[in-house]
Amino acid sequence: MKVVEAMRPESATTPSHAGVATVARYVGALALIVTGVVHLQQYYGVYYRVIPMIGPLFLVNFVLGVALGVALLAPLPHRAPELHRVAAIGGIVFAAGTIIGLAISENGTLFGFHEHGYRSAIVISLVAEAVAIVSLTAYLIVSRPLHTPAVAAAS
Amino acid sequence: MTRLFAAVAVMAVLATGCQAAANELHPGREELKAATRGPLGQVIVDDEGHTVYLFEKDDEPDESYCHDACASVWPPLTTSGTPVVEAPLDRSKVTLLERGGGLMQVVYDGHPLYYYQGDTDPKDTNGQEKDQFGAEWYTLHPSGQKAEAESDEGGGSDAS
Repeated sequence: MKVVEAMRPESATTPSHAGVATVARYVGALALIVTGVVHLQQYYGVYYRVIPMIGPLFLVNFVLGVALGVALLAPLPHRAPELHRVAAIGGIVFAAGTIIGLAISENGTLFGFHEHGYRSAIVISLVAEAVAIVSLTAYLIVSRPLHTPAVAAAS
Repeated sequence: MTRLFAAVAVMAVLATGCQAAANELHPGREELKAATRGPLGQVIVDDEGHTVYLFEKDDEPDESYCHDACASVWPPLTTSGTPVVEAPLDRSKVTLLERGGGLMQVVYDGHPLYYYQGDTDPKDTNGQEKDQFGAEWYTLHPSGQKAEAESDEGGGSDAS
């Protein structure tokens, strides 16, 4: 008898774990898309497009949020089994970076820009970013590859 | 985690190195003067030549209707003391309006004054005649009247 380390892929987790991972991934993906859409609305709806640096960054936020969200919602390609985990890590960094950027601009200036108040669009975005961080972190934990001892017959 | 710390570090460096247009957080003692801006003629600018604007929605000198997103795009011109006023501006037309947080906004002839984030160069007047946040924005003549270009070619140059 020989004990070997075997990777346990996401598909091999228990059904309940797989279900939690899928829900967490979908919730995180939708939260990232909401974050991006809110930034696009601010870009066009309240003229943030005229603000140097901040305007283009809002557009980049929309593109990144939607791209990461779609990557998390898309079926897992066979050739890139880690894509969802990479996208989840990217989504967490993206959401955290967006929160940090807001915190800086609310309490000081970011590229010379000072944000005023916590209007509904900002609250919605903050909630979506927090949800994204929590749900994608949960996804990474639940779907992490486990090194489980497997018993194989030694020849 | 390393990525997060890197992002924080980069943003902190950029934030501290890019203090620019918005003065309202740490205003000095503001200075107002007049400068010629093409077809608009003489308009009111600050000591660095940045064009300032009135908001037509502000119909009373003791109240600003520009807050939240509006104040982010149109930062109020604030001061830490009574502004220095150069001729031909009239010092008696300058008053102050208290905004939240102890910030005092400069008011000229009953018009609270604002910068425009779309003005990247001190000589820009891109906010002229913009219709944003419920009313139009104009530069001001030293008399306190809103400035309007004599031809349609004057004023703002960026699309709103």
